[in-house]
Amino acid sequence: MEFTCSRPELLEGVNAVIRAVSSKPQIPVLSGIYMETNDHVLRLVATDMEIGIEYKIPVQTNQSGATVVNARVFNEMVRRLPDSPVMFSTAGDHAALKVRYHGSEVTLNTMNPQEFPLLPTILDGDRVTLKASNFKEMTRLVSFAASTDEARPWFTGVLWDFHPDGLRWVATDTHRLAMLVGEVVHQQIAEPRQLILHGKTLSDVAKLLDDDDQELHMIMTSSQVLLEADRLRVILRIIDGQYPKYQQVIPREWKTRITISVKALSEAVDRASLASIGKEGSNIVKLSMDKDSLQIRSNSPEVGHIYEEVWIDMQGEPIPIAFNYRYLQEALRVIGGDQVYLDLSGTLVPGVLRPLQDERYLYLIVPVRTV
Amino acid sequence: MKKITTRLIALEEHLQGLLAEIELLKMEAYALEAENQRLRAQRANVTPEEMNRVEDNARMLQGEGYDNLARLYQEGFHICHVHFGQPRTGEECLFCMTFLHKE
Repeated sequence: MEFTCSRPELLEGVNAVIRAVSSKPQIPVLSGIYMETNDHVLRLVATDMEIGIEYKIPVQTNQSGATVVNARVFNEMVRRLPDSPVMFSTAGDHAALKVRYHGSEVTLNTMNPQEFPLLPTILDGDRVTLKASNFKEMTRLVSFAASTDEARPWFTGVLWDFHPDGLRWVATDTHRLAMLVGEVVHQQIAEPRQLILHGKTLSDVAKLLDDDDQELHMIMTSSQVLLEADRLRVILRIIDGQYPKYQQVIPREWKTRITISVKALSEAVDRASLASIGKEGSNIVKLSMDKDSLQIRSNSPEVGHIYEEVWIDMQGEPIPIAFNYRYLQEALRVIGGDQVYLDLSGTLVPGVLRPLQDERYLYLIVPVRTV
Repeated sequence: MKKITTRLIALEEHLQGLLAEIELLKMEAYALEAENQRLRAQRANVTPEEMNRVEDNARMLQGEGYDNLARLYQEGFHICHVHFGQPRTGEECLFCMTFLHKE
């Protein structure tokens, strides 16, 4: 194997695949990055058997071949390389990888490329095409609402609910729920189906998509999903389990609708949170309202008392309610647009945030009992 | 000839006896059919009083069930189908609250 490439391109590839390298590999070869050159393309592959990432970069190939290098060491080395062209070569499948630049030379130990489990080729399955911008929007607006508790794996995922009219993404940790209607470019699905994909991994994949206009092609089997975009190919495992019936928890109506500035509410909650952080404060902010203003109160014997007031427009009767400030704060940070509706139906009924100009999204927060 | 007339009279009397017995049996069959119809109707249609009694009982059982679930939730356990019976971490659960609210 022999090829020449520049540091920025190689670094981009290594950064992409290194997310799939496990810190505790099941077999030694999984601590490595598989490199293969063929026809002026360098293919980098890494997998921890849960997720597999393949990234292709154009290089000048002098001789085809494959090798596996330790991911951590290779990543650190690539970062330290000069910006000039760098030549990589191996004398055979089991030989060390020689890296040459200027007059310098690095020799890295390698592993047997034939032991590396390459990503399966998926050809048959349901197919969906999305815009990268829509996929990224989903990870921004929905993924964060998923749980981090691995004991309940299906809640660590984002539900992809395919139905005849399109696609809905849902994530919940049972204390809040985010839902976004997807904009599918093309869909070829045998019958309505639901699948759960790990939320954190989806966010990682979104970071690898730099061009918002590019199309993301998905092929879905019963256990795996293949995501393909331009230079990137990712294989994800579908999380087993039945997602709870999320439609039941979304209130169909509201009794009180508050129209409020996202920025003003976000800043007020941020300030109020100071007196709700900690053991005594229990992370609670209490909301009360009248026709023109929303009052936010927080109280902690350790810190003191904070009272915030925000101008609002209210339809319906005032409903005093209390929320965990974190669930409000996290949603307000990602919701775009100037204004948002806060729909309430009762002190103990989940509140719903809906951006004014975007009916595709909603965010539900379970209230906290304060009595 | 007289002998034949006597025999015919005897036969006539016998037939009249049979007809009288048929008439009696007919009345008995009618009474049985009427009773059967009344019993069928009684079995099919529960009286309003009985209906109320059954409904009150069901309502009481349902109310007890709801109260038990609400108490279980207050004591810190999930009552939703997702995590039924598991301890809550202290925070409210969206699915449990929807369930309680729906009830």
